[in-house]
Amino acid sequence: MRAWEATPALSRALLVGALLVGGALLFGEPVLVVLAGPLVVVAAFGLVHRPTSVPVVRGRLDHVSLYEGQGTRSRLDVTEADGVEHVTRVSAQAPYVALHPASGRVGGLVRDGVPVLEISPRRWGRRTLGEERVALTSPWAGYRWGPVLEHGAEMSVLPASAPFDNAADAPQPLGLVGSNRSRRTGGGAEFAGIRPFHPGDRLRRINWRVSLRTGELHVITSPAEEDSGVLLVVDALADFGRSGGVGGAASSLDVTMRAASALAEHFVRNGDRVALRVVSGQGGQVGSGAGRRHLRRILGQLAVVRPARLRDDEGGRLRLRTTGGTVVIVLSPLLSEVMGTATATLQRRGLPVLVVDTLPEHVGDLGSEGTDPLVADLAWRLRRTEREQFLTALAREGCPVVAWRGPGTLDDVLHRLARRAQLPQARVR
Amino acid sequence: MTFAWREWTRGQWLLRAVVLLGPLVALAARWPGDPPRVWLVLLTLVLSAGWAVAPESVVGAVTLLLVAFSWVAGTPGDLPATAMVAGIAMLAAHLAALVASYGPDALPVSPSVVRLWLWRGLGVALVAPIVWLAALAVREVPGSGTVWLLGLAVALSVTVVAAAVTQAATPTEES
Repeated sequence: MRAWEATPALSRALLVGALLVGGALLFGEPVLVVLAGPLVVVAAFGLVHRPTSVPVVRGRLDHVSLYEGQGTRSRLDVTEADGVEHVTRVSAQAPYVALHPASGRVGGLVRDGVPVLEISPRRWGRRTLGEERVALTSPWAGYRWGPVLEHGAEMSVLPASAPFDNAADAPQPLGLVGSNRSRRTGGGAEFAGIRPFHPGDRLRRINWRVSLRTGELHVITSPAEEDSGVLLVVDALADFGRSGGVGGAASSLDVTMRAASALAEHFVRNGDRVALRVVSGQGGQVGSGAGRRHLRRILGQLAVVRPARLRDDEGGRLRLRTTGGTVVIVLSPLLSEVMGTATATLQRRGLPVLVVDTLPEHVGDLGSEGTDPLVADLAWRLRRTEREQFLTALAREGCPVVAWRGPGTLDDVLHRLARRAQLPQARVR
Repeated sequence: MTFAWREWTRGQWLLRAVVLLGPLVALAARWPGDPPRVWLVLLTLVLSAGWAVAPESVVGAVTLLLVAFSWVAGTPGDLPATAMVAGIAMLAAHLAALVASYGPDALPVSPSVVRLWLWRGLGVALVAPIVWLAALAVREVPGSGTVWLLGLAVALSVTVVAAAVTQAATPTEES
């Protein structure tokens, strides 16, 4: 209702006041006027302060893009607020959005500032806040405007980066300038060896102690430091398990997104070029790039991912196009044949591929409501059996699979891949 | 309609308590030495409880009218000083219900709102002794019945006209 209307309190005061005054007239009872007097005065003040403005309310968020678990404030702009004394806001609950106060109901005087609601998204993705009802009240609570319905704002919630660090170098750095030790010598900082001076060597690399001892100029060599290409492949074909939001139980897609976010942040911070490919019916990819801005693009893409199956004709021709030397990290719960096939294809091409298993340890009851628990349990056991077969097949191909466990998850695997990269290889093209 | 009394905050409980007790206090003030009849107390209690649960309902007006007219039922023409207490108790119940109905049942009560209405209530409560003194003074004047009729008719007319004027002056278009 977008008009000022009398409140029940004003109606009550007017009704009681009028009837008591009328009763006093009819029965000649002055005591009724004494009882009615204060109510009549309250009603009179309410009538006198009837607003004439037509308020406009608009909700806004302090931040529309947040990491899950962070908080922001939902504010309400009230324009044409002449004659507004009190504001009441009632926000509906939305999935994975925590409110403070928890009831989503706040009220207060305009002179103290329009009351704000504190909001904290508890899970990554596009979150639509609950619809909000807003009511304005005039001085002396004579008239009320609303409640009017305000549609909930949308916010982009980035997956929280799980703590991650990696001490291993990329297996095949093939870039320009970075922090990964290359097999070729160059202008790095670490010691690789000492060799006789060649024309073109930098004078500051001359090792004078060895040169004086041998009588010939010798220089210190060091491995080049190069950046590496990293392709993150995110399996968003389905979401297994139930998500309790940040700090709660994690579904497979929660683990996938948080791991992808942590890996992207780590590699970008390391100066590497990172690309993203989302495997789902919805699709989505971010090209190779570096820098904080590129990281925001990747996180933004992760925030809009929704689980969706591939079309039947898409599954057979899934190609994860990537260039040589790129480290491919596949984040998947490994419950899809499509992902197994695509991963094995990359492995056969000789690319350094590693799979991060994102299936949570304690995936709960996966049966939907109305499904026979026995049937659901049987189906789940079949899926687990298929998954074991995928894992065996990948191991046979020499593709390492590690469960996501945060810091150090990839250290050992990347060390092994780096050693393997130095060996002669046969590639299938 | 659901009454989510389980969700009431402490402030809401206090307000509802005032709504519940106000009419009872106003009723008790009528008979300081002689308690009112049981059925009247029970009826007032039930109505007050209904009003406390649903502060925007019409039960509030019924409760206040019941209490007020019970004052003139027994001893017509009486004007005791306790009428001021009753008037203030009815005012307190009315204002508590007003503050409680600013939003849904579980709306936390803002302390600044309570302070504002406390000051307003104290100011308006002064009307009760003023009117009582005025009524006492007019009652002593010969022919006071005519004075009462004229004065109150004028007051009522002013209230009605003011309400009608403000109603007509308000924009009602949808925006």
